[in-house]
Amino acid sequence: MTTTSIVNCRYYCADGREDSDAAANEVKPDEIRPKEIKKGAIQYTNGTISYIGDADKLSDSDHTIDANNKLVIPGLIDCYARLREPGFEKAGTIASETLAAAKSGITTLFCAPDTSPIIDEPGTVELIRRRAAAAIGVNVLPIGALTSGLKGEQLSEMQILSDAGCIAFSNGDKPVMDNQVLRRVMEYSAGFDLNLIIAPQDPWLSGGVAHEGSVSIRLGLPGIPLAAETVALSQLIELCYQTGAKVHFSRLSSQRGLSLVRQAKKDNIAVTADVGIDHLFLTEMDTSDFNTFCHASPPFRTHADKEALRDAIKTGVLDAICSNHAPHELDAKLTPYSDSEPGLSSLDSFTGLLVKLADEMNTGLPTIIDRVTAGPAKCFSLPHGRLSVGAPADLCILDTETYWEFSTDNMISRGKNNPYQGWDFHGSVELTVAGGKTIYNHSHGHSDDHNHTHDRNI
Amino acid sequence: MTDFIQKTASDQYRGEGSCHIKKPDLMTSAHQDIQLTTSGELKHFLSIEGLSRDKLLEILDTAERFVGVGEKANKKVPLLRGKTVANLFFENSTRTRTTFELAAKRLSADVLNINVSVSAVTKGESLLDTLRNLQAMQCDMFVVRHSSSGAAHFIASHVEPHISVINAGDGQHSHPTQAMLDMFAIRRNKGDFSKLKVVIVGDILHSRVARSQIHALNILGTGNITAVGPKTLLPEQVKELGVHIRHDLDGALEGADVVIGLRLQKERMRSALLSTEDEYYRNFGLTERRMRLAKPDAIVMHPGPTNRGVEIESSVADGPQSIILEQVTGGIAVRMAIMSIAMGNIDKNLALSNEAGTSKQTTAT
Repeated sequence: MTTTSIVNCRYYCADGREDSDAAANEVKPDEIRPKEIKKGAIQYTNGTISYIGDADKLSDSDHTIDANNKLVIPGLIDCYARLREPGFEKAGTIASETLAAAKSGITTLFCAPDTSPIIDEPGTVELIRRRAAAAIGVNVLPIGALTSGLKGEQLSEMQILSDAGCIAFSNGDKPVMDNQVLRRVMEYSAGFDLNLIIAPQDPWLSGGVAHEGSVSIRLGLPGIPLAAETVALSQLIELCYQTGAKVHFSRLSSQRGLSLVRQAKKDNIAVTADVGIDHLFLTEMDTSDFNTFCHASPPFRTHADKEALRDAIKTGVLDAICSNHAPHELDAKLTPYSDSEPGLSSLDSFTGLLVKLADEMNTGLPTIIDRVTAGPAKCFSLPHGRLSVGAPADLCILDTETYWEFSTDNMISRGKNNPYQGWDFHGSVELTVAGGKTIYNHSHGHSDDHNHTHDRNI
Repeated sequence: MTDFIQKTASDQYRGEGSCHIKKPDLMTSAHQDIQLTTSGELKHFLSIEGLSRDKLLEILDTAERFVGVGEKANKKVPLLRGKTVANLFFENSTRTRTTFELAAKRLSADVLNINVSVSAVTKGESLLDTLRNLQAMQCDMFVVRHSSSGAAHFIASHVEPHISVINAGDGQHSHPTQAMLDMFAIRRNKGDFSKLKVVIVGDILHSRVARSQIHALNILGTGNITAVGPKTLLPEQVKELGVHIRHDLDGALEGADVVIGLRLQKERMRSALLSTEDEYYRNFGLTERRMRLAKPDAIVMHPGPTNRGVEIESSVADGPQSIILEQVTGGIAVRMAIMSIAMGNIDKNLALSNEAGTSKQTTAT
C-alpha cells in the first residue's frame, strides 16, 4: 500500500455539480455558482483518493508532494481523440499521443474507432488497451465502431465490444447514410444502455473543404453549408426521441446547431454534446490564406458561430470540450488546401487553450475545467473527473502563473499539424497523476520553461 | 454604389473575425502578400486580389508596348533571354498553354512544356516532389495550372527565391492572367473603366475567371458590375466580392457596356445545379435578341472555348459586337508583360541582395 500526499495546494472542489441541469433548465450563466477553490491537502492511496481537506488532519504518507500553493484539478477527460494506432503509426502511436496527452494533464482519453483494423472486434480493443497500459499510463478508453467496418450497414457487436472495454460507439467521421440503419443502431444500443457518439454531418451536404461562406466563395473552395450540421442534427434528435438512445453529439460547429441541441435538452431528450477545442478559437478567416493547418472537420465557421459555441460552454448546452485530436504526417498538409487532409494535432495545445479560454471568456477557470472533467464524466457515467474521496486518483497540478510561447518544435505528438505557432499561453501542467501513478512531471522534462515564470496571483 | 459594396466587403474581411493565426514571416507588415517582394514589387502573379491599381495599370501599359512586337516580321524581344520557363499543366488546356508558350518564346526564353498527368501524381509523386525536381533543373519561372484552388499559392510559398510563379488557373480560385487580358481588351475598346456597366453572366460559383475579373474590375474602378446566373451558380455571398447580383439576364443587360459570358462546364448539367441546356439557354443564353437590351455599342466577351447554343448564340459569338478573338491576341501581349515584369523584379531583387551581401563582406574585411 502506497500513500501519497499533495500538500500546500489549492484544489478545485467538485463535490456535486450544481450546474448539472443548467442546460435543461436554461440557467443563465451568472446564476451558475462558481465552484470553490479551497486550500488544503489531498492524499491518495494506491489508485484512489483517500483524503481531501485541511492539511492538519492529514495522516502520514509514503510520499509527499509540495504543490507550492498551485492549483490541483481533476485529471482531464478527452472524449474524442485519434491516436492513429493501429494502422497509421507514421501519424501517431498510442505511446506518442498519450504522452502528449499526459503533458496536457489528460488522464482519461477516448480514442476514435477509425484505425486500421477498425475497432469493431474485441481483439483490436485488447490490442489498444495493452499498448496503452505499456505506454505512459493514460487511461485509454476505445470507442467502438457503430457499424461493422464503419460501413454504415451492419450493426457491430456492441455488447461484446462494451464488455471488452469500449466506452461508447461511433462511426467516427464516416456518416451512416441509411436512416433505417441509424434507427436500428440507436434502438439496439438503447436496449443495452450503451452510449453513442455521433458527429452530425449530413453525408450529401458535407462534401466540401471549408465553411460555405464569404471565405470559401472568395477562395473558390467547395463549401460545407451550415445545413450539413443542422439537417443531420434534426434527424438525429428525432431518432433519439423515437428510440430513447443515449447520444452524445460530438464536435458541434454552428450556432444553429446549438439551438437544436438546446431545444432537445429542454424537451428532455437524452442528448449531450461537445465541441472541439479549436472551434472555440478559430474561424473561417483563419483559412483565408489557404492555411492547410486550419483545414478541419467540421470546418471552422463564422465569428458568430465561435462566440455561440463559447456561450454554450457557459450555459451548459455544451457538456464537454474534446481535443478532436487528428495528428497527420506533414505530407498530408503539404499540398494545395483542398487536397489536404482535415484535422489538427491538438493535444499539445489543449490545456494552453483551455486556460486562454477561461481568460478570454471571463467565466473563471472552474467552468472550463468542469467541461473537461466532471462534464464528460457525467455524459459517459465515469467515476473520474472529480476530486472526492473514493474517486480514482486522477489529477493534475496546474501552474496558473507561468507564461509561455507555444512552439511546434516542442510538440510531443507525432503530428506537427498545429496552427498555434507563436501563440502566447498562460498556465501549464506541472504534474499529472493517473490512477495514483505520476505520468508526467514538468520539472523532469522541460525545466527551462521556468524562466518565463512571472509573479502574479490569480 | 459599387464603391459602397466594395467597402462593406473588405470591411468584413478585416473586421470582426480577423485572422487569429500568427505567421512569423507575416509579422513585420500587416499584409505581406507572398506575390510581392519586400519592397512591394510583383514577383509572382497568383491572384488579382491584393494588387494595387497602379500594378494593374503597369501591366496594361507594358502590354500595349508588346502588341507591336507581334506585328513585326521578327516577333522576338530579348527580355527573358537565357531564362527557362516551365509550363506546368496539371490540368488540360490548349489555349492558355499555347499563349503562354508563345509569350515566353517572344520574350526569347527557353520553354519547357510539362503535362503532369494525373496518373503520375497518383503514382505517389507529390506535387512538392515534382516541384523540387524541376527546381533542380534550374528553371526560372513556373507557369502553373492546377485543379485545386490555392495550388499556385502553395507552389509559390515552396519555391526558391529566384523562381517566379505565374498562376495559369488554380481550381475555382483565380485565373489572373485571363482577367488581365480581359481588362486589356475592355480598355482598348471602351477606355475609362469608371463609366462602364459590366455584366458577367453564367456559372460564377465555379469560375476562377469570374472571380479574377470581378477583383480586377473593382480595383480599376468600374462603376457598375453585375453578376447574373441561376441561384445555384450564383450564391448570395458573391455580393461580398463587390458586385450586384441578379437572377434575370434581361433586366441586368439594360444599359450594359460590356457583356461577359462564362463557359458552362458540361458536368454542371449532369449534377443537380441545373436542369437542361435548353432551359439554361432560354434564361441565360447571350442571344441577339437579348443583346439589343444592352447599349448599341456594347461589346461581348468570353474566355473561351464557347459552348454555342448553350451560353451564347453563334451569331453573337461571331457578330460585330464580339471581341472574343481580340481577347486571345491580346492575351499574348498581356502574358509577355506579366512574365517580363515579374522576372525583372526578381532579378532586380536578387541583384540588390547580392550587392548587399558583397558590401557587407567588404566592410567586414
